[in-house]
Formats: sequence, C-alpha cells, structure tokens
Amino acid sequence: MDISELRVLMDKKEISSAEVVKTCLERISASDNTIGAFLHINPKALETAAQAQKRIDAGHADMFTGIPVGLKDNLCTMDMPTTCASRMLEGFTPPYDAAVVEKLRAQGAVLIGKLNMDEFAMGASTSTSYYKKTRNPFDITRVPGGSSGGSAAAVSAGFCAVSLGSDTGGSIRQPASFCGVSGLRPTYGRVSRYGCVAFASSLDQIGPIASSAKDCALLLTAIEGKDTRDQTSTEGPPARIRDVSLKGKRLGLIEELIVGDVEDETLAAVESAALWYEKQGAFVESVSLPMLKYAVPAYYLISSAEASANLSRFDGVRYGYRPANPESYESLVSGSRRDAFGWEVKRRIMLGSYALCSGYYDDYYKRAVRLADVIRSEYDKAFETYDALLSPVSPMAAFTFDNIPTDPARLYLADICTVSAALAGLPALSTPCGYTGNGLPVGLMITGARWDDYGILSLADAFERAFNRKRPAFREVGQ
Amino acid sequence: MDNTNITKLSGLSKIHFTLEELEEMNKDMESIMRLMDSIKDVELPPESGSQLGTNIYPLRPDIVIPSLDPPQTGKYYTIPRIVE
Repeated sequence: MDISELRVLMDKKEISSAEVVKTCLERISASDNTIGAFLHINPKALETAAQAQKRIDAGHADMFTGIPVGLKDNLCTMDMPTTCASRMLEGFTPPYDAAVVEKLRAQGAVLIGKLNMDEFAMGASTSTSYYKKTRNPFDITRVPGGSSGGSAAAVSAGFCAVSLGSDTGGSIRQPASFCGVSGLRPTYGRVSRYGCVAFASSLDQIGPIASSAKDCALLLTAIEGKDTRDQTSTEGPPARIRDVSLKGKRLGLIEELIVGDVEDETLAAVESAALWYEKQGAFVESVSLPMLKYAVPAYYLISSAEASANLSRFDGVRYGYRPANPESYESLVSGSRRDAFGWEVKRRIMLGSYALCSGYYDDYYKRAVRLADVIRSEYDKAFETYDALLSPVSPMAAFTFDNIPTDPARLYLADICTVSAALAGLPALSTPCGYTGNGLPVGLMITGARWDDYGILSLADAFERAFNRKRPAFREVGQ
Repeated sequence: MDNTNITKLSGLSKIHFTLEELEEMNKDMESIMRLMDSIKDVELPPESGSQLGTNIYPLRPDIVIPSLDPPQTGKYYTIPRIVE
C-alpha cells in the first residue's frame, strides 16, 4: 500500500495510525532478528501515533501524519541515540534534531526507529557497522547494500512505510537497488544536511527510500527546502511528480557504465527497461561521457579528504568513546580513534590525510577536484540533448557476505555507476527494473539535470506502473 | 608507500596502529593508491584559478569548503594538510 492510499484510509478513519504502527512493530518484532535493519526502536512510537491520530481526527493531517518512517542512524534525533553504527558514538544522543527530522515531526510522522548503516556511511554492504549485520530481505545470505542498508532493508521487509537514507557516492541508490525498492539521491542542496553527521560535506545528501518513486516524491516534498543552518541548501524550483508523456523524451544510455564488469543479467534488465521507454515513444540512444572512467578515484580522493577533516572531531574528548586511563592527551586521542573506529573508516582517514599532504595535494586532491569539474561539465553538455540518462545502479546484484571483496580497490570500483552523479551534484534514483535468475532485484538508475528531481521521479513512476515488482520471498514467508 | 610514510600518516591521522596493523594498512594503501594513481596522467583542461578548490559546491561557488576548515579543538589538533 502506498503512502497516498494510506493517507486516504487514515483520513477516512478506515485505519488508524496506531494500527499501522502496531503492524510495523509486530513485523519488526517477528523478523528483525533475522534482517537486522534496526539499531534502535522508538519506544514512544505508539504514543506518537496516538498524538498523530488526534490531529487526523481534528482534520489537520499532513501527508505524513501518523505514517511510520525509519531514519538512518546518521540523522540526529534528540530522543533516540545516533551512533552512525560506530563504537565511537555508542550511547550518544544528540541535543538537537536534524532539519529533516524536525520537518517530519512537524508533519506528525511516527519516527519508528534508527536504521543500521555502514560505519559513518563508509561502505557498500552495511557490513562495516560496529553493531550488527543487516541481511537482504530477498536473500538473507546476501548483503542489503550500503551504506543505507538498514533503510532499504526495512522498507523492503515492510518494517516501515518509507525511510530516509543519505547518499555520498551511492549510499541510497545501491541499497535500494539491492533490496528491490526505490531510492532517490536529490540534487545537492535540495535537502538540508543540518544534523546529518558529516562524512564528505560536498557530496552528502539526504534522500528518501520507499516502495515506489511516487512515495519517494512525497517524502522529498516533506523534507526539501532551504535551511539557513546549512548554507549549501537552497530552494529548488517548485515542482511535483506528474504523469509524463514519454513520447519524444530523449534518454541517453551511458556507454561508460554499461561496459566492463557489468554482469549480463544486470545489463539485460537495464536494456529491457530502456527498450520499454523506447516502446512508449521515447528516443533512446547511447551517450558517451568519457571522463566517467576516472570518477571512482576522483570520488574516493575527495570524499576521503573531507572525511579525514570531518572525523577529526572524534577525539575522545567531546563525543562517545574514550579509553580508560590515557597517559597523555595524545594517547587519549589516538587511543580512542584506534579503539573506536573500524578498519574501513581508518583506511579512508589515512587516504584522505595522504591526499591532502604537501607534496601529494596537487597530484591527488587538487586533480580530483578538477576532474569532478570536468565530469560535471560532461553531464551538463549531455543534458543539453537528453532529458535524462539511464544506466545500471551497480554492476552486479546483491552479493553474498562471503563475496565482499577483500581488496579495497576492487571494492571501491564497484561504485563506478553511482559516484559520478554525486560528484556532479545531480539528482539520481534507483528503481527496480528486473530480477536475476535467482530472484535478486536489479536497479535502473535514472540521472537528471540539476533540480530535475521530480522529472526523473516522474519517469520512474511511469516505468513502475508498468513493471511487475516482486516482494521479497522473506516477506511472503514471514508475514 | 613506504613504512616511513605510513607511520607519518598514522600520526597525522591521530590513529594508533600496532606494527602488524601498520603493515596491513600499508598493503591496503598500496592497492588503493594504484587505483588513485590512474588520475595522475589524465589530461585536464587548463585551470581556471578562481574556481579551483571552491567549485565542489556547485550551487554556491562563493562558499569555502567547511569540512576543511580548521576544527575548533584548540592547539592540540591540526588538519593534516602538510607533512613537514
């Protein structure tokens, strides 16, 4: 059931907020031991639902009044812990709410809990979480993707109606693809990052994960807008999701992202989606963006450089973990970071420190920033001709926990399809477009021009209405 | 990357590593840097100095990078920009 249907039923008093929230809580209680999506369940969820019901009864409901929403654990909540799935922030409850959380509370949404993620959003499998493993509802031997793996798995398993994730280099789109749901990385600046624990500030963006592009659009509308506390946020042009005529739309299939290591089944699903658009009257052709092949190193250099600076605040003094009886200030800082950061986080801090070092700065960080600029120009040029660009979200469907690459370079290269839109600050979404032979979802990525978030959501909505989406086998068996 | 560099980096990063961990990190960094090195020979258009370093915020080029601003942690901690 989508959000607008739920809204109608709630407003007609055919179903109460408490009933919906209770159903979600029962599902979580029955199945989250297996899936592991949640790090924290809101003990006051039913209380909030009761308050929301009063608002509904009084006829003052907003779109998300009484609707259960899950939050990635890097979004600050003053009534629930915010750990970023790191030991560093174990037990930390922020003194303020993130801007997106404030907006959802103002709408009367029921914040059902905090969702697992890769530690400090660094990863693509949710396996770098300090606390637990999250499993893919389509196949519990496989990863849900990451870093917003908990957010995608929770929606896929029916634990909440929608969730919020954050996307630095693909962390909404890739898990949405792996878990067979829809996820949008909005245009950089459309959603305030205030209260989202910073990983790479020039790339981080908060966005929705939902069962459909239509629900993503509703959640985006609820959270978007300028916020003076995030100077990079700005008011986007007013727009909404709409029925679009596909006739005459010009869509480009990005050559650089459909060659190389893309698995055959993934490619076939993406090509069949492109063919569907063509049959509806769209004009689809290949487009080359040659510099995209350098997007992965550019992304990792920029994001790690920013991460090394952003994470310097975690020094054992002001936040979370602190070793017992440190001998000196230096050992307090280096000891807390040694004990409380996971390996992947340490690796990125080291890479970032290296890229910013005198003697290496020009060769790495500076070049990466210039490359990002060139990539952005290539996209801008492409959007002079095309309404949107199509590609896979990931070269492969969800992999098993045993198959997480141990070589970091190989691991990073798997982000090839998603990082370039992030570098260019563009909106991009993932929508399911097919299934592999063993039933794993495959995601189609639609990238749009800056501020065309609702345009690409409308394109995805048209496809989704014709596409026979499957629910995870886990959900069929479990509920 | 040699051992001196990796030791310096761990100091800059304010992370304590054991010798074994340093060796493992060195191995990882070598693999990562092979990938990063691929951008060193890319032909890029000439720099436009006024944009460089600020244009990673595509919407507000007047804003400097806040994440690289010195943290407000006092004299003990500095951004690891310069090795020597």
